[in-house]
Amino acid sequence: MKQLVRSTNRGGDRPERMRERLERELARRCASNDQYSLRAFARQLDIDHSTLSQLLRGKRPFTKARVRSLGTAMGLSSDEIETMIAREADPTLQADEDATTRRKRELHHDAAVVLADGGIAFAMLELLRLDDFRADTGWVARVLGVTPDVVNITLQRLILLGLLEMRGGRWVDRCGDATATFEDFTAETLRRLIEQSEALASDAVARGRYEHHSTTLAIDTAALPRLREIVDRFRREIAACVEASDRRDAVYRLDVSLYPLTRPESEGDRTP
Amino acid sequence: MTTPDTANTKPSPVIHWQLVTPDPEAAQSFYTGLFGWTCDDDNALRYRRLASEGEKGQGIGGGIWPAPPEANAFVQLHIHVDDLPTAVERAKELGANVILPPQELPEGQSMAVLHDPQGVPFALTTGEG
Repeated sequence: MKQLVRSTNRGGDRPERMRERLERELARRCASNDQYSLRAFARQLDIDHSTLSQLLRGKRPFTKARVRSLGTAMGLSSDEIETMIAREADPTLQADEDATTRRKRELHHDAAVVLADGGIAFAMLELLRLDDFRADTGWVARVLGVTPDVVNITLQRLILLGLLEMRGGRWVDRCGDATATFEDFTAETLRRLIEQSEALASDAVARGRYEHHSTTLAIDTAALPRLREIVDRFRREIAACVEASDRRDAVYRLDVSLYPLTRPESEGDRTP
Repeated sequence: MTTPDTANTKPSPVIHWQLVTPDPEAAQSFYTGLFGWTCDDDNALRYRRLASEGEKGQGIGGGIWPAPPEANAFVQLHIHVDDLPTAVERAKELGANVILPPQELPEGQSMAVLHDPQGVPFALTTGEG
């Protein structure tokens, strides 16, 4: 089962790295401004956008000077900056970032891109678990209602991301029950994902296979953290129920959305 | 004559070429119409095989693989090697970057895609054509 959740949990007690801080700041700005982009972020940090992209993807190291200039541009305290510099220089950093951690980071950054772009990537990975799965592009295309070319483009992307491997007549899921987080997704990525969800749902409606539950509520926004906990628990219960059976004969999608219909009076509060 | 800077003494042949394009249908239509090649996708990956080797087999066969809409079209050569892991390591030593790690394709052959030191993509394959 593949899950996509919007999460603010960075995990662990270790000091935050500059890359994580940049991701978090970018996500925060994207969440509060639909038009915000990596380029805009780069401009405000006085850095070339492709350099920023490489730093965020771990393709370029954070030098001491870089951490200092970015930290200053983001208004971090000198203590925070020095802690981050020490963290980057930590010789255990590479050991700390073992294969599993790397895989999670790659998922964190790239799964969203794959999902928003290819749309059917997670559905394809879930198909592998079906009892009657066939490692045949034509079969996958028919089951998912897309063209064989779309299946092959997605297949290649999943392989490039290390999420899938071809072993002769088998396609092997390399990411297991992954949870990709949306924390650093841009507003545009989220919007495309929602559009894709709507398209899939619309197709399911046409086939008479869609269950829909929608409730409009007047709420006390102070209760939002509690509501999110309930949503999380609900999602976990569904997951546990699905996992209880060894049999797999179809792939379904569950979308849970909670968002305001009214605009808050206070400027800047666009928390869904 | 200089000795090739490679661990392989046996030259590795180019055994296949591949067009990677965001519009496979158009490419198929263009090349089959221009050269009379047939195209066959009756295989597990629905891979479009182009019979570009000619009736006497004097040429090499080709194929078309889809690319995402935003990608540019390009041609990739596939070079046969007997030992894929060793060939990939050797290519890396000489400055190549692995793009697609070795995969075992449905028909049994293994393949990896790399960028040469100038960024030109090519594939290493244990396949014969």
